[in-house]
Amino acid sequence: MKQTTQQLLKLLQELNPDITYEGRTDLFTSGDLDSISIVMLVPELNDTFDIEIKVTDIIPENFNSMEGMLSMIQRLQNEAE
Amino acid sequence: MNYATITFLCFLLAVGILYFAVPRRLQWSILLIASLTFYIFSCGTKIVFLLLAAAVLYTAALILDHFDRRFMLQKKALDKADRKLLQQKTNRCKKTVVLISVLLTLLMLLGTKYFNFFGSIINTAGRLWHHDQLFPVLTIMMPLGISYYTLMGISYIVDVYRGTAKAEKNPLMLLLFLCYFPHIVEGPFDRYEALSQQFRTPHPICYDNLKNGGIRFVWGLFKKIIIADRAGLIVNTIFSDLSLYSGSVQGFAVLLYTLQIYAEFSGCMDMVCGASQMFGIKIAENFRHPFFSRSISEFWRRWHITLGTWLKDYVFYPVSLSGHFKHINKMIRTHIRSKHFLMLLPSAYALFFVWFCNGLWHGASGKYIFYGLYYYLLMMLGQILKPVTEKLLQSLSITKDAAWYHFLEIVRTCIIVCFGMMIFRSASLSQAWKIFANIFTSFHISGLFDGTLLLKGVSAGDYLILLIAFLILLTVSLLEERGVDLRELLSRQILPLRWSLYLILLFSIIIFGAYGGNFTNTTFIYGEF
Repeated sequence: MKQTTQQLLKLLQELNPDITYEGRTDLFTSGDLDSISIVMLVPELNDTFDIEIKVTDIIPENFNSMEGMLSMIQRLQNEAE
Repeated sequence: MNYATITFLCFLLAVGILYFAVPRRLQWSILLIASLTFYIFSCGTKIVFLLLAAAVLYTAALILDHFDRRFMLQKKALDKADRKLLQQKTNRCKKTVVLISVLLTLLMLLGTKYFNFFGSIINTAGRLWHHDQLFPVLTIMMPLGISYYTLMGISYIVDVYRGTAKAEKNPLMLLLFLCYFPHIVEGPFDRYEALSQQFRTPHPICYDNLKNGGIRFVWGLFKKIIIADRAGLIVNTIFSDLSLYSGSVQGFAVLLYTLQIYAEFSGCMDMVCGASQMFGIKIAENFRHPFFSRSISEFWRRWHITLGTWLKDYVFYPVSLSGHFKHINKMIRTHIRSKHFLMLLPSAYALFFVWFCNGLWHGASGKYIFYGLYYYLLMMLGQILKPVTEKLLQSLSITKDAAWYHFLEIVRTCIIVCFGMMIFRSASLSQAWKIFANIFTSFHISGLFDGTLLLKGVSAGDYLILLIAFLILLTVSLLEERGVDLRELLSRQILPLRWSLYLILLFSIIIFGAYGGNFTNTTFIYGEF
């Protein structure tokens, strides 16, 4: 889990190093992770964690916080098995 | 029926009385009757297109629901592998149903709004092969709100397909969603789940809703009648014969048109949101002070918000996450090494479709497609150059949070938007180019003060009223941008002061509204799309 968190943080920081991601719960709704950032991030998440994020997964609950993203990754990995 | 007329006010009053007089479980049926009356009053027999769209979408949603139910029943008796196969088969069937219903709905839009545009393209292509006039040029009157209810209908059926909305069992409820009179003329693009729940909820008469909705309606009228209609007369006169005016006057007309369209569109949204609030129904917000945006992308998140979110949810994400794009992406990844460009690729690809659709939605002409692509190019340029600008700012020790830098970003966004509006307002791309060239080649500031702007039917007093109204609009916007809730602030004032202000707002519209003489109560610009 710790490794997944670090990988996710690395991807997010590559996307935009100016944003503080840890502890935030409004990344999606505040617009820090806007639609352009999301479509940049999704292929990276798909490749890194071997998952397939669908359009219906792009909701504030999944992208507002690192915890939300981690639980989405976990869920999609479980579904793929 | 124009929202800014006495007829509409009488209509609203009659609907309001009936709405609160009938048993609450029947309130939605009053809204349906009112909406159908409004529609027939506005465009008569063209209601047949609306009814057809509603019938197609209603049936398609029920078929999708049937597939889902059948899958749930059958999967219980299957093992994991067979269940997966059945799911794939069900999804294929559902996709076909969605595709057919979306195509049928779009066909009505294409036939009424885009027939001549696509016909002329095919005719031009046909001439290359020596086939003259393959498509006749027809005079087609567009059914009211077809661009709006088509997109709202598509969002409904796609949401049912995705499982984020339930299929509606009552066809009249779906019809009400499509033709609800506050959103049929200029939007906003509401979503089915949010609105249908409110239609079903009983709404007792509520003083706060009536008062706040009423104030918002009057504030919208203020923007429309005092600012937009007055600016509209000046803009239309200048644009009717641009050759008479210098570049500075043409530039002034572009600025004024930007103010006109903002005051009119956001004013209309205030009126319809206010009217709907009086019934206890909250429709989607379409504006959030767009002219305080620091970038173009932020501007489009604050201007015509519901069109942006519609395009994001039903074009941008589906295209950028589609299987064919994943395939293209994989191929390109083997040839490009730059991480920055690789990350830009999905958005560059999907945004092209978004801005193309955005332009095309606004109108059936090359000018509107160019208008959409203008923003696409600027947005992509901003993204491509981002690493360079970041480095430049770093080397100059400029912090992005500095107030002066923030202000410069807002000014830059406003200038870009004004040039966009220049394309939007011009009769053609060549006219837009001429205005653009004139602004830089024949700009004489004296042209603004030598009496040229005292056009037929426009006095210096009109400019003064326009200036004062603009300053009021700016002040209100600034306060709201800083988080001040003006209605809440007003409600805390003593009764005489509060009602004096309400009455001043109302009487200012009656006294300073642009009507009579050369002024006409123009139809809403976005109502023509």
